[in-house]
Amino acid sequence: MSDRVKIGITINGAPHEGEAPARMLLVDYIRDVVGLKGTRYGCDTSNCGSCTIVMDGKSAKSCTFLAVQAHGRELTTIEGLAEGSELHPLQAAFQEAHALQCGFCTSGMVMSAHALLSQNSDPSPDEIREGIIGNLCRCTGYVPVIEAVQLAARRLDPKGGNP
Amino acid sequence: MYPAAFDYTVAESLDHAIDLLQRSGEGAKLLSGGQSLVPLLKLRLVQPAHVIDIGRLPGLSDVLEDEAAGILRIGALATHAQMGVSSVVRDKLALMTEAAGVIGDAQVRGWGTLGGALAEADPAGDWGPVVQALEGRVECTGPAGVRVVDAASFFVDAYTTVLADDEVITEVRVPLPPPGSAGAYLKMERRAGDFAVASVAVQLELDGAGSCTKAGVALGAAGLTPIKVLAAEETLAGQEVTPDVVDAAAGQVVEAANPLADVRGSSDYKRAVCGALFRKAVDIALRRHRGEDVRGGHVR
Amino acid sequence: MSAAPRPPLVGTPVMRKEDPDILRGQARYTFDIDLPDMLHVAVYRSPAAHARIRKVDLSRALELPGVVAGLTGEQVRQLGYVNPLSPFPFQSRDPFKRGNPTIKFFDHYCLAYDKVRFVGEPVAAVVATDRYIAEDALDLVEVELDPLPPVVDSAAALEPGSERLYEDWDDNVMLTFRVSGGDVDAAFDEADVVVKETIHSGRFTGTPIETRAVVADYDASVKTLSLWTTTQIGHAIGTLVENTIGLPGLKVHVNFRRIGGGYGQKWAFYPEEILVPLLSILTHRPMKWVETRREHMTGTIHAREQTHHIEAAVRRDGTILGVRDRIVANIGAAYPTGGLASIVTTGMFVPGAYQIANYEGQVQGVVTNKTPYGAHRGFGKSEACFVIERMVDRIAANLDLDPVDVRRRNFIPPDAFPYRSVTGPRYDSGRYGEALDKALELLDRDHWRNVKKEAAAEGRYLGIGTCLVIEPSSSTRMGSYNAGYYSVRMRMDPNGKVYVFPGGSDEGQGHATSISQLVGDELQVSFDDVMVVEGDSLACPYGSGSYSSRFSVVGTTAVTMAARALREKLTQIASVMLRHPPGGLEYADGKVSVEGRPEQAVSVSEVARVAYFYPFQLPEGMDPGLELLYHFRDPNIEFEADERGRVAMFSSFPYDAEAAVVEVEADTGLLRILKFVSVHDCGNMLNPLIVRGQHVGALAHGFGGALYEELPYSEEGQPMAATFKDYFLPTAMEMPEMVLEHIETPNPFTPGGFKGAGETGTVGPPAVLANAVEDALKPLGIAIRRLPLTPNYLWSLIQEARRSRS
Ligand SMILES: Cc1cc2nc3c(=O)[nH]c(=O)nc-3n(C[C@H](O)[C@H](O)[C@H](O)COP(=O)(O)OP(=O)(O)OC[C@H]3O[C@@H](n4cnc5c(N)ncnc54)[C@H](O)[C@@H]3O)c2cc1C
Ligand code: FES
Ligand code: FES
Repeated sequence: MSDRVKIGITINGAPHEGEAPARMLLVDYIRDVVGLKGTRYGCDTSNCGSCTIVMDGKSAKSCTFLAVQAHGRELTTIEGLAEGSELHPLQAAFQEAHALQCGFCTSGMVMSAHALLSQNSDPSPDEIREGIIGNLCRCTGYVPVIEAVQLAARRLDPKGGNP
Repeated sequence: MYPAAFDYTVAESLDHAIDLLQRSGEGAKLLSGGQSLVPLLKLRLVQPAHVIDIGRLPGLSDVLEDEAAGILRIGALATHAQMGVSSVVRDKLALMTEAAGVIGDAQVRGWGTLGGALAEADPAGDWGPVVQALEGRVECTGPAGVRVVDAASFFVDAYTTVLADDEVITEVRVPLPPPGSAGAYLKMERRAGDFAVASVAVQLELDGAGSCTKAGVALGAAGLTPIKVLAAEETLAGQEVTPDVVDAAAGQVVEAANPLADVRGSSDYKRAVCGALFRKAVDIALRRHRGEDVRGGHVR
Repeated sequence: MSAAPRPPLVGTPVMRKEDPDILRGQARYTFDIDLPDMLHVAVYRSPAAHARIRKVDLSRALELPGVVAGLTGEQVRQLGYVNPLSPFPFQSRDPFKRGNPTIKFFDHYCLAYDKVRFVGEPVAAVVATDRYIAEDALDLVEVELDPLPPVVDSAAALEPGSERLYEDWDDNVMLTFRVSGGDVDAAFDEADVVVKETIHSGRFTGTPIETRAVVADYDASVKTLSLWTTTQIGHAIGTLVENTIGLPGLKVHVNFRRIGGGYGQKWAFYPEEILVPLLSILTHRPMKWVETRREHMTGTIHAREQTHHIEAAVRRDGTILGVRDRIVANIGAAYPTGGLASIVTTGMFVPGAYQIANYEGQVQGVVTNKTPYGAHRGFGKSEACFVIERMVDRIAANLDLDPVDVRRRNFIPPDAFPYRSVTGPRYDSGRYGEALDKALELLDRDHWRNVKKEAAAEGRYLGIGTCLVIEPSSSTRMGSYNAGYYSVRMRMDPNGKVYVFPGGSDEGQGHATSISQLVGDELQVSFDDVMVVEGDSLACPYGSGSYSSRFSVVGTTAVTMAARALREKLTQIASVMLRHPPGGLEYADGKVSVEGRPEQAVSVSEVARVAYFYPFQLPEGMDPGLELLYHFRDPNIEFEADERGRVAMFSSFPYDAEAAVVEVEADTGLLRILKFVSVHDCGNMLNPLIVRGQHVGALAHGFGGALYEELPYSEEGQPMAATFKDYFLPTAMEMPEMVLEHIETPNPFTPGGFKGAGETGTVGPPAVLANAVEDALKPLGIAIRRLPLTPNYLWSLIQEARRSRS
């Protein structure tokens, strides 16, 4: 029983051992302890989704977890998508469809879309909408985001029927 | 965004969790998916001295059909998402699949649990009315062992249940409806991902001729707790579901609703929405009974 | 054979160069700035709407381990060198000189000291080694308040005996403004019919997903304050900070390189922009404050709350002869935000897209115990357009005419441009009738009329609505920080790369991409060789910021002209190198060559090297280097208002014709958008990809304001929507299917022909949806008089109508 806890995670494929106060939120741990600032936060009621990461294969709002709850889990953040100098096809599709403007929501939006595509390789526009309800964007009006996810789906899974 | 300090322990077993609860008394909080607790911690609306993490206790997240007992056993740690994709749930209890699909958003559904949601007892929560309409029961395990509470008497007040400080919800048991049953869960929200403006769960047992033999009706976001509308259930039961019967029952639904005004609407308005959703839900249940494929869940 | 110029970048959908960094998670926003030894600030905010401060005691908070400092309003005043927050956006107290508008001021400091005047007003600050501890300390701050009667409603605030927010004022009216043109009384005398309405726009807020954040680092050894702040007006903030923190010799360096959305909310001078620097000055430590969303919902400006008492004099055929509008804006507490300018703008643009020769607008900005009022995308014009577009439909209903015909009858015709409006502005260009016709065609109005008829037979309520909204952009205001010019510094370096330093800021609009397109074409360098450095008050020329879509109008022009000046110099140098007169030279594809002799050429980078390293080979009198500063002054502006308040403050006039079909469900008040069409004209399109993105994003704000977003207050002045749980931003699910089309009527006043592109979309949806809903509910005789169109509101109207019928 202590208010400081040890935390061991795998983040973007690499192990990370650290320590934090028990009350520290996962989003702060990722940003300030691990040092990956690409995960952001924009609200205090778990509504905006800017902090979305993928944890054990599922999308998760990292502001809605204590850091310690991630102990022993596998995390992917926005920094973990691209390989080398190439953007991940989903990231490339976001650029092509102009699915980001100020970019503040973008990490979370991309991670939600990534989780969606890992569960449904050929989502309909409505399924995409449903998949990103937890991600608020004040810039794009979402339409280009939906287009980007469709574009990425086609490229990642060319067999997908969605024209 | 910045919780107050607390001690944190991972419970090694159910007994360990109960033991910790017993020792820390009122100042302790269980943590399952954290999708209600962490937001409250962030706003410092709750400031527990001790957080006891039961999120990864084994054996508490199965969804199993117990044919002998005629019930579905849902482990308290089953997530909303898990409920949403479970085929036994979909086949037998369409309105549970529907409820699972309308809770918050993908991130919340992936981690939030049925047990946590019932314990949270949010007046606008989606599971409360569904489990009530289905006559589900909640298994609570404490130092003295297990007790099983009817969903109808589980909720005491807003955010308050009959659970004692040292009890853990371990299972939810839902009777498997007889063939010919049909139901629907409908939720209206101000915008996607929000809690309900109002929601209605309807489950009808129907005989071959289409008469209702038994009805379950419950409302969400219509008062401080989910409201099981016994009067409407009685009106429907033993009847052919004619427009007159539906009118009478809808009147009783509106009567039973006692919603608070907030940014989602006035109390008169929400009451009217309960009536309108009830009518739609009965209509969907009847059409489903006839074999039609009708969408429930969100009313948009 | 001459070198073929490359295909142009301007006008093509080039992908944004900003995106890869953002998409990899590498972009750094203000709250990402970490400095060694940095401390963290938490702000104690008023829990009460209106109260006298009796005591603010930080002693218990300061005892908490990890807490380093604290500050109260009284202590700020005692420092001696801190002034009240300097005014914004008007930097003079009589902006239009002639006593119109009249404005009262109050000396607010960065922390309240005498009274608190809205829930969320900063009262004290604590500083700790991390934010969690700072928040713990906030719980230990002891504040005693003597409650005062809250003033919440603007009509009540205007009552003679009302409690006053500022005791040395004689009432609660902060601003009065009058503008008129023509002979309004005569128009009303001549009218066949007078249509009167009271129309209300609800309180709304822009809420970028990035909340505000301020990082300050004061280096006493060089008396330099480095400030990172989430702002659309970084240069102005430097000036405002200098005005407010009166330390002699203080140098201020403002950094605002990457902003996570602004939409007007970051167009204000905020108390934290003084508070955080002061704490750094006092402790000699870097300081960071990041606004929580809960703080944001009350501590960052709101917008739009206005009530219009409007009457229109019309002929039986629908001709609008004259309009009178008395506008009361509920502007909250009197902080230096953009609100005053926005309500003056409303008064100027009620005539909208129509040829209205006689008009009188009276504007009152009334202070209340609510969050201060400021800018939002659409800046006062959204409210004006909502009202006039509503009025057109009300007029049509009164006269039993088709609202489309009333629109067509009153539109400013295409041959009347540039058109001088009754309130002074000079509308640059437009084809309103054509745009509306196109919108109706895309909507397929006849088809929907049939569907509507069939639906009516089943007792369903379908309606068709139209609107034509204008969104005047690129504003200039005498006596304010919007001075109507745009400055840019440009340097081609010895490698032939072009560095551009604009005087604006980017909140996501893609300036770097647009500038690279413009400069790439003008200087024939590659898109990737244009480097844009923006948002640094010391590296970039002074500028009034990003607002009013001014980048696309004056910004692009300044960039184009600067590039042309640079090209001129390059050509002159090349002329010496090639020993050929400049007139016979060709500038294409990264080379300067002698016309008709492509082998006689020098590359632009060779010329650049000469400019820097061979100064003695340059033509007589020419300065070495390739660097210049260019200022462009908006040509379509009139700076000073006349005696009736008329002035041309906006220079370009994008517009949007919209049409929509909706269905209202009577039992629940639910509104479904069955079809939505927008025909947008923002002049030539610099980058169609970005234009579409801006427009769709703006439309999302429009749908939000029309249907979902509202900031109600209780009678006690408590905000009811103080988090994202209660303030309903639209999600992807709320966006309807849209049919989008553009027509291009070039802006004749700028070389590129561009107009503002990013705001028009916010303006239309409230109007077109209200019009469609009113059409749907026509059988019940319902009129729509307020926003937003919540299901509860529509349901109540339907209930009322049914009650009064039976
Ligand atoms: C953005 C957002 C939107 C949401 N929208 C909806 C919605 O539309 N409808 C809806 O119904 N819900 C909604 N929720 C709440 C969500 O359903 C939560 O997941 C659920 O209420 C809590 O489950 P949990 O496992 O996360 O519980 P936790 O947050 O871990 O715990 C919640 C409470 O229950 C107690 N508790 C947890 N588990 C147990 C147990 N086994 N026994 C006894 N006590 C226990 C905890 O001590 C705590 O007090 C939303 C949440 C968020 C963040
Ligand atoms: S920060 Fe808004 S949901 Fe996590
Ligand atoms: S891109 Fe700015 S909030 Fe989404």
